[in-house]
Amino acid sequence: MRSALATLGTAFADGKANRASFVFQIVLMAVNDIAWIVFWGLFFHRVGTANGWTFHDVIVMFSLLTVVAGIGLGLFANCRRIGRMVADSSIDEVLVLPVRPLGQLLCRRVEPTNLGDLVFGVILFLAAADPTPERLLLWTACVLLGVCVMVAFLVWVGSFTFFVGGRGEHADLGFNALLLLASYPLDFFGGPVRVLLFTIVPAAFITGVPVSLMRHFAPGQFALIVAAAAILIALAWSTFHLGLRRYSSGSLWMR
Amino acid sequence: MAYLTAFLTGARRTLAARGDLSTQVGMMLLVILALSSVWHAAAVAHGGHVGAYTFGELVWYITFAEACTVPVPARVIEDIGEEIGSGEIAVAMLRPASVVGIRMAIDTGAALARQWCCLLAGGAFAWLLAGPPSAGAATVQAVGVAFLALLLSIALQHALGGIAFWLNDARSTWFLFQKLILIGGGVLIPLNLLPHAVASIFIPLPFAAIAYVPGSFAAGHGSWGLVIGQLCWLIVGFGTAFLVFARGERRLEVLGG
Amino acid sequence: MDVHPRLTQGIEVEELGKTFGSGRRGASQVDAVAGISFRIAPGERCAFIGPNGAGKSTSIKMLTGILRPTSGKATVLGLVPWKERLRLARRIGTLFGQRSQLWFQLTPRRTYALLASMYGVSGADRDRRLGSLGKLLDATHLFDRPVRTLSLGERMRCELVASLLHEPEILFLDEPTIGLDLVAKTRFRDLIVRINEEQRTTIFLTSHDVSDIERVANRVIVINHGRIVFDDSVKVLRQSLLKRKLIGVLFEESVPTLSVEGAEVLSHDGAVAQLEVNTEVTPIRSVLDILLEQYPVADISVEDPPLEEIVSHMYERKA
Repeated sequence: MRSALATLGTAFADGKANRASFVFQIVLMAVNDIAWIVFWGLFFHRVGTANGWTFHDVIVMFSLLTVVAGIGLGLFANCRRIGRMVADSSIDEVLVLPVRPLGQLLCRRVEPTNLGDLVFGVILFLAAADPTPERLLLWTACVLLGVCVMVAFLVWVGSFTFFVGGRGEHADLGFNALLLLASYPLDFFGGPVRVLLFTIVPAAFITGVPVSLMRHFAPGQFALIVAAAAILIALAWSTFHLGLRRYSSGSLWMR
Repeated sequence: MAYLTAFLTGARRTLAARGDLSTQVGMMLLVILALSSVWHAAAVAHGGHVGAYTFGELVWYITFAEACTVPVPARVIEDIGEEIGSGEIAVAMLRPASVVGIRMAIDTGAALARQWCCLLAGGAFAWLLAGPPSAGAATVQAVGVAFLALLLSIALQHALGGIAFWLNDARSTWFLFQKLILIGGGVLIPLNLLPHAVASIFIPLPFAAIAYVPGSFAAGHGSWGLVIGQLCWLIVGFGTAFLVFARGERRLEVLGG
Repeated sequence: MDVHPRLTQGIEVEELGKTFGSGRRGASQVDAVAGISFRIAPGERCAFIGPNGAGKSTSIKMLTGILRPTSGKATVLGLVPWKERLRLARRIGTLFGQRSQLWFQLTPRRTYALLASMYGVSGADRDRRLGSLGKLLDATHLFDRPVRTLSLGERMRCELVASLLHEPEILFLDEPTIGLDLVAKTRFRDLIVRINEEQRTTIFLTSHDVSDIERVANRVIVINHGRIVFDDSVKVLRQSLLKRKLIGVLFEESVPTLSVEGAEVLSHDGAVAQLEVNTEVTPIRSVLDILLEQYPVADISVEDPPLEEIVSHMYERKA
């Protein structure tokens, strides 16, 4: 744990070494997020409410998503690169260290771009989503659970590379699908897509269910997110470590 | 002739990289799914349509708007910056053909191949979601307008990309360009659904000619006025691109890259 | 197994094998390492060499715990690498020539601080160690420069400091001299020998560069197609196989006949020629003297025969 924190600190220093580009990337990401808020503003201006969702709900949704992505993809940036790192055997670097590999791997890269999301999301929540103390507490809990869901999901799909080879493309697809689907109101999706969002692409636990919790707290729903996070973490941990046993490092060309 | 070869090379390269192509098309289908769910929710809340659009029209609108923006490589500025840095541009300048002309021909070939894949897959998907094309037989017009939109996007990107001759770190301009098209171009929301004042600012701009115009044609709301505007922007776009490169290349000759 | 207690502190390998390939069917399977056995005592400097794709990296990765073997046994410092990887990692150092452990944008000192915390090296120990390693490797002045500004040779010295910071008992080096220029290579080799002599660190080095062996090792294991084809002291290898040198000559004009005492002309075509010298019989110097005195030499080079050739000679001798 201590060494993971030390690594994170080092990765952060490495990420912001180029200060101008660091600040610039943070600003750009915030611009991107603002573009989306503008879209939803225009949409709800036109439509009023749709399937029970209002502009205010979307604000809450975006504050959750951007902060989850900011922490997950910003501070633990390697979570979306596990597949690639297995393919090009850069995980060897971690395997020779006297520390647990998964945690170390996740802490080794900080992505400034996504820290922009983090800043944006926190400001958005504080400025526009009624940050009463209770709501702030619930929001924080949802963010932390969301980070677990996102990071665990990405580690899980990335670990497929141990078994099926390739250059980690399926992990990229999983990543894009998760982020895309988490950025739309859950209740706009019906039928099979909705099932998908609670299972294979667990975007519902990052934004959909938390937004509903922020409207009216329901212990059952909260327990659902906790369970989803726990299952995904177990799945990610075991898939990664099973994969490590089959790991063939740099020898992929022999296949 | 050289330009035709360049065009075909670009197209072939796209079709050869099947993995990239299918990922790109797959992502586009996901976006169409997400956006059509959004408009479905909106249409249901308003008795079947939003503004002048029915749900079906909106789905076809999205499909064409996406098929005009997804296929264009958005990092032209970055690429040109790298080509200047690596000296690739200097080599291209030795050839007896326009650097920007060849570049655009390659990009057009690549983008057109991708666009057709997007239109085929996206069209099938849209049909599944919302029934046959809203524009009926006029969908052919929409396909033509979509090609013009693609050309315009490439021309504008090269005009902007020329900034790389002067600024070393202009990498992220493409990012802003993309966001402008997303909202101001009408990829996410048809421009005539925006508040009137906002719409009247965006519709005459070139971003609208890239997404909103082909989308409108696919939804059956096209008009020749929109195409004339598109053609005007095409002339401006290509003119600027050639001008910027001419200046940039001269600068490179003087400074020696 | 009756094992000498001192040996268990070194490296022991018995019938170690690794097969790659997914299927249970034989067709897609490749034996990267096909049952190798050897022992290395503490304090030895062993070169583990072979042509590209011979199984060197796979072996070193099994010994450091990165890969699991498909057959056989091995212990390093008395530990089974792939079962007790974390415990082993504290006691060994690794340096992979094509992979950096230093953070690119930061100073080496920053990486050293991080590594020290991972290996549980106290601040005082770390500073003492950095002081002595910096002096030994002549690298102290590099510690506070961002890694991206270092040359490859400078960077490799800093990498070496990183690998040695926790006082490992064995140092594994995988192709450490790859990409270095001749001066940097020579210097790096000398440093490894000094570390071994001054700190008693066991050295296990893979390479496909013949001169790495001559300068660094006192013991050589040659592997090819996953099997050990030679395992003896460098002295024996030198006497039997490393005694040949290749001389390439470019003449200023076409030379009709070429004959040099003590050298065999391998090829001669007008102004270009290649000769082979058995340095045990004829000193290389005398051949060069004759060439320079009697022929219009424009350019000349002396090289070791490539490892591939040495390995094929080994097969010939066995047969």
